[in-house]
Amino acid sequence: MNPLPMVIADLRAMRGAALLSILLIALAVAIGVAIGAQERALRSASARAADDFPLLIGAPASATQLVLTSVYLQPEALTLMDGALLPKLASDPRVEAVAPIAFGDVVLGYPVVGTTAEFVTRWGRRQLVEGRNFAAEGEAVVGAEVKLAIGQSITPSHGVAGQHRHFGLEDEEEHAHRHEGVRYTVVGRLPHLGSPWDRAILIPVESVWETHGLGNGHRDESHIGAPFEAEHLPGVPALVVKPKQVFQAYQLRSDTRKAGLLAVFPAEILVSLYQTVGDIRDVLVVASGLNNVLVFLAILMLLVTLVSLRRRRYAILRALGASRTYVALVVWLGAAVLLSLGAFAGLAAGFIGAHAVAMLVAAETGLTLTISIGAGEVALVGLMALFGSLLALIPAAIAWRRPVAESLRS
Amino acid sequence: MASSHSQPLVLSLRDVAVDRADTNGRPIRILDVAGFTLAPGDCIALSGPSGAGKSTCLEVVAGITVPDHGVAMWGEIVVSKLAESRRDAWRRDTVGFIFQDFHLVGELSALQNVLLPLRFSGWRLGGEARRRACRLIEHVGLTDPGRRAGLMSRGEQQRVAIARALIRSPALILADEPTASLDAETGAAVADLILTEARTSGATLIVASHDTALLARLDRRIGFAAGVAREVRP
Repeated sequence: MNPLPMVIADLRAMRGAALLSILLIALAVAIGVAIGAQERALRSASARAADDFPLLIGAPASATQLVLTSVYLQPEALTLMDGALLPKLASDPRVEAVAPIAFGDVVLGYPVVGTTAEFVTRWGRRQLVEGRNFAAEGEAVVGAEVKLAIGQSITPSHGVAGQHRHFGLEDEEEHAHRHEGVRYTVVGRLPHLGSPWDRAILIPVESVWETHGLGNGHRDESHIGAPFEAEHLPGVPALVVKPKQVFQAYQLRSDTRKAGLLAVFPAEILVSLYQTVGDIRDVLVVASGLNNVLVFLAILMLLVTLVSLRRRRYAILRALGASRTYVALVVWLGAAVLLSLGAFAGLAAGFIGAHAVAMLVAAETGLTLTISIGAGEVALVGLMALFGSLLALIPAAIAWRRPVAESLRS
Repeated sequence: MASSHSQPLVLSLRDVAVDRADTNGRPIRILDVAGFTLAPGDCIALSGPSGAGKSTCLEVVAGITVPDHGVAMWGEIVVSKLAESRRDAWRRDTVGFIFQDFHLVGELSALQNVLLPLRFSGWRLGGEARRRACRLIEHVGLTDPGRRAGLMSRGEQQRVAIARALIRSPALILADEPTASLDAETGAAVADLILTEARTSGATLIVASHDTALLARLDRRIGFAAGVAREVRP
């Protein structure tokens, strides 16, 4: 037997209801798919952004805040620690490299970050795509998304903690806090990193100190970068340390902690954040799962009603010689096609939805989220399609059982 | 898959009675046929007012309704005693049904409607089946097999329905008020078509009808009154 012509006729006959059902199911399934894809993308993007920060050291305060401010450039004021730690770590045999990170200023809403030329290229892991690295005070390297051209001159303003940024625009707040007389010239541009650093303006850390009247870390103020001299160093908010070996990373962390400072692996902090995000995701996934079940049941009610309304149509088929199996197959296929199409349309819609959210997240934080559909989402949709196909057996069974003679006269 | 070309056999009903519960739950007899026998190729009419039992009688003959008493036989086959799936298969291979309201699948083309009874048993249709369907459509007086059934006039729809009933070359053609939804002229043409088809193919034909013009053209007539059937001599 071949039920397809009847299935197609049935779907045509109820195209309004069919489209609506597919749309509703797609919407319900999309929410679950988007939550899963979004959360996974957020994890991998945030982990990628933290890759260049093996060990972070700061004054004793919130470890989460230290990570958020250093890795994700969240504008918060960090307590300063004694700058003398910088040369001390630089000469530690377990340390391969160390760089200070100093924050505080903004230009056109972009955070100005002071560091060393070595850390600008992440100790050689990144190559500038345009121009060159800074080699003297007054020079700046910009992130990939900063809308400033090479050769352009800028004046920083004193940033305000927790301020909302409008990238590329100078707001009143920024205008009122200009460091008059301080100018930087853009000399190079970083490649796209997919992290909030894409929107940062990187300058020699010495310039940050000097702008705020704190000296520049050297007895002879004519050069920049290591070596720094302890007695000339002001306080620093954060140090990024690249240990030589993994076990040395643990040693350094514990030694630094013994000295009363904060030392964290950003990955550690992220894991605990993921735990919280994961819990929220679980709640959302369960809620959207229940949501899916409700939508499926509602559509099922609609399909049962439709079978009832069409009892005569199916009774005619029986009178023409169709077996009850044929009629049940027509009803089952029609319902299963609707429910499965809805589920798979939901997969596509979820992917698109997650992309839309990723664009919002990128605009807000600078994190580039790469949305992918994982086995989890495909399994979820497959399960929904299977569930739908099983539910479709109910209207099919109703059609199978309905007596022909009575339906013929209804 | 293809049409079965079953041979017309003797059709007989014996002591057939069908009971239904009325609105108060009491059983009422809606059909009571002492018995009649049709030779292969007989063309007979069932007449009588609405609700007199004509349609129920057709349903018993078609194996759609199982009588509470008595038997319906097709040759040696006791149709009314077959299991449901066997009755479905017997009906598919033996009966061509024509309804008062045509009951085409409006979303399908005329051709797909005519081919529908072949779909009940086969997955793929050969070119021969399609050619035969097209010939039938042409034969019943239609020119466009690809036209959607829902867009056709009533007369055209009944012609498609007749082609659909004939696609398996049935040995038994059952028509329930085939002209009642048509104007007199179209009705006469449709009646012509049914009678000609039955006579040329040698199939047994039973027509339930009010249409006196149609009744007059059939060899025998069984009258129904309040469920009771009686042979009428014209």
